[in-house]
Amino acid sequence: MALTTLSDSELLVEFRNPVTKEKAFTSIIKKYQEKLYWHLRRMVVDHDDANDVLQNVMIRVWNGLENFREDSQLYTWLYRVATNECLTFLEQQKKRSAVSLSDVESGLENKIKADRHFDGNKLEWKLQLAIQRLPEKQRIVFQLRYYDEMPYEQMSRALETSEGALKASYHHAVKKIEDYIKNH
Amino acid sequence: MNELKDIGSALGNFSPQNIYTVPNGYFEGLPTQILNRIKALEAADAKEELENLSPFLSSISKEMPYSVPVDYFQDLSENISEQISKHADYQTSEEEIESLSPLLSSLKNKNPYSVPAGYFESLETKTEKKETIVVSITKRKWYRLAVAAAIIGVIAIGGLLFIKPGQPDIDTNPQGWISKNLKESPEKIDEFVTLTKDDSNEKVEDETDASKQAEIKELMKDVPEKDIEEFLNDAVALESNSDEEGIMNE
Repeated sequence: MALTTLSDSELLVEFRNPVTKEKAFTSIIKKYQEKLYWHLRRMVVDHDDANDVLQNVMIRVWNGLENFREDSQLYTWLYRVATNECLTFLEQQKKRSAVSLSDVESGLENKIKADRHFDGNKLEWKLQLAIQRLPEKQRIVFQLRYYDEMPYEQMSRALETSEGALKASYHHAVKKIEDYIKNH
Repeated sequence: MNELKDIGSALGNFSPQNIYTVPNGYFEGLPTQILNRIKALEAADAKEELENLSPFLSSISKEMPYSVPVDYFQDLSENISEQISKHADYQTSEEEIESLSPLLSSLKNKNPYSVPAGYFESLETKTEKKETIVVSITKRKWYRLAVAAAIIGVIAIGGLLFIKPGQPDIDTNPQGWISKNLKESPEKIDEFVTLTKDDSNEKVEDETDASKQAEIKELMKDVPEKDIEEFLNDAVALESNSDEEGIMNE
């Protein structure tokens, strides 16, 4: 049976078999690459940065999947790894440029404006600018709920935050973004 | 305010002023905003939630404005695998067993077991031809339940007979009879008492008669027979006279 048609549980079994480990890993990448990529891209804006972070994420997955306890879904675990890797990347960027995180965020805003397709009059670009103005963790919450429509229960496990806090964070984020778009 | 002045507080000299400002229309829109928030919390999915929170935001297209290099996703898995293989700790399964045990690595492809010629070719054919026998689970289950019930019944009856002994015989085992029937009926107890009383009296009388006769014989062995006859005749005469007197007095 082609590994691409297997469920997450079956892929994990194949991954834990030394004979089929590499094939299973390739199947996992193909299954989740786009979701994880866009999750990272929305956070770091730049494609090259998103690609670097994604590769780091996948190396972590290769090293850590053997010990994955399956107390959550594979998808949830992958998102947790990706989010942590993304936050680490942004933290490293801050240290590298020796600026505050808010400056990093304005740097992200500049990266959006630097995109060759950027059009400040279009709502979808304004939306991206508004999203980048959110605090990091609130940004993650907003993107997971707004773009991926991730259930709060799953998000709670991925971000290790209570559902109530996530709901409150998302509702506030929606308000802020709406206000920004209407006023700019 | 008067209270503050009374206690001599400097605050009494200031008139209360609200320095904070509230956005225009805040209070007018507050009930609707809260109601929409409640609806969002109770929403069934993310789409309904966003419609309640922000109809405006829900109307904006979610299509990402960012561009992605051509064929990026097609080549991604290969690129990542290449990155991993370049990693210092990376090993294929062959390399791993070679590093752990060269001996086991050398034996890996040596299979000592043999298989009859044409076995696998014929196996597929046999598997296809073999018909699956379908046995109804419900019928077997009924049959088995009936057999089990019958066996349990036999065991239960046998056990009851074993545990519950028969009625003990009142003559040979009176104590057993008493302990068996004591709780059962007072009539049976009375019956027993009556039976044992009669039996015991007869037994006592018999025993008394026999011992008395032996005693009399011992006492009279030296008395002449003539004197005994005279005594008996006198006793009979006396008895008949007393009977007549009794009849006369009634």
